Parts: sequence; C-alpha cells; structure tokens
Amino acid sequence: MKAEEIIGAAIPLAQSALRAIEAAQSGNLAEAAGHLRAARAAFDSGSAAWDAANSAASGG
Amino acid sequence: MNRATILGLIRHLLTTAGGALAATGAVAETDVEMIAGGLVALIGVVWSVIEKRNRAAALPPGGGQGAADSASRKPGGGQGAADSASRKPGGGQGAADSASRKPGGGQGAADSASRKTGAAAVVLLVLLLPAMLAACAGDAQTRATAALAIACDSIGTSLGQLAPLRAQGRLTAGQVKAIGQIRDATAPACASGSAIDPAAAVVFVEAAAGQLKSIFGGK
Repeated sequence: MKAEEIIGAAIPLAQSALRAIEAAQSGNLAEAAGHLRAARAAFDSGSAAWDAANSAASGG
Repeated sequence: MNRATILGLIRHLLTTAGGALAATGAVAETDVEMIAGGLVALIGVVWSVIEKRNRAAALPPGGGQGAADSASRKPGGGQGAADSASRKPGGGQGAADSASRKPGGGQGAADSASRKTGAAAVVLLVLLLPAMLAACAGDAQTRATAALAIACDSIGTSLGQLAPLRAQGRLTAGQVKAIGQIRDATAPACASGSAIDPAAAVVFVEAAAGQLKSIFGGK
C-alpha cells in the first residue's frame, strides 16, 4: 500500500470522527446516531472482508 | 504532489474541521492547532517509515542491510526521527525488510508490511480523536454514541485493511486468532442492527480498538 493510499484511508476516517465529535458537542443525539449507523455499516463491510479473507486463506 | 504539499493539505483540512469545533466552543483554537499539528506529524512519521521500507524493498536481492541503510541515509531523505529510531541497535528493519530479503519476497512482502503499517496508522490516528470527546459539552448519551461510532468505524476500517494480509497468509496464527476474537467480541455492539446501549458498550469497544492497535504496534 502506497502512502497516498494510507492517507486516503485515514482522512475519511478522521473526517467522519470529527463530524461525530461535532455531533456530540452540539448534543444532537439523532446526528450522533446517524454516525453510529454509518460506522456500523463500515464495520459490517470490514467484517465481511475479513471473513472472505479467512475463507481464501483456508482454501475454502 | 509531493509529501510536503499533501501534508499541508491534510493540516489545512484538519484545522478547518477543528475550526468548526472551536466555533461552537468545543475546543480552544490553540488546541485545534495542536491536535492538527500532532496528527500531521504522526502521518509524516508513518509516511517516512513506509518510504524507507519501500526503498529498501526496491533494492536488488543481496543488497543486504548495509545497502538498505545506505539508501535510507541519502541526502534529502528527510527521514528524521523515524530513521533515527530504525537505526538504533536492536531496532532493526522489522519484519518488512526481513521479508523483503527472503527469496521470492521482494515487492509483495514490502507491500504487505506497508499495509500493516498503514493499518496501524489508521487505527492510531482514529484512536487519538476520541480524546477530543472529553472536551465536548454534549450530554453523556450523545458523547457515548459518537465515541462508539468512532471506535466501530476504526475497527471496521482496520479489518478491511487486514483482510488482504490474511488472504495472502501474511499474518501469524496468533494474530489471526486475536483479530478474530476482537471482531467477534465487538460485533454485538458494532454490527448493524445492534440494540446495545452505546453508553454500556463504548468503553469495551474502545478497549478492543486499543487491542487491535497493540497487535500492529508489536510488529
């Protein structure tokens, strides 16, 4: 992975984190809950990728 | 676009985002500068390490440690603290360089090591951000929800970055087991459809994200 790709992965994550922090600061629970839903979707995606990698590594 | 330009843009981006927080009184303007500066410095160090490893991997087989070190000391390399640390006795080149010197290792092994470093950078970067929540004046439930979002996002992103390494067999059995355990343990709180109260889960999930970081930190 090139450095540009690393930055490319880190910055969106940092941006979404900052938006979540902003929601927390404003006391907007609905907005924070929206960020949590998006984060859970990201978790689902990463989790599915991990499962697929496990299958590939084990020859399944 | 060179590294300085990209890092400058990142700093500007972070400062802008932080400015929004400062405008609402969440953090002091001086804190925004400090946090943005710290994050950019962190990214810069990680970048330097990756560049160094890529240069070492690009050397022909048999170039050996001396050649790699020589390359890392080229004038204008600007490696700074990262290179200094890597030249400490016992510091060594790490698994990446070791792998790159193996027969057939080459660029693939270096790319693999870079991915690990990148995953560590992402996790470390995002782990710094929840600390900003301490400065937030919002209610506890909203803070917990936001913090859980950050931690779950971090874990999900890390899993996505680690998946190619797993598929290529570049992780040890112990790492695979630990990562799987972290995933399974955090899924009840982080997977879609979870009904767990964020306030009850956030401390555990943040700790799990920290565990994930420690796995990479030891590599």
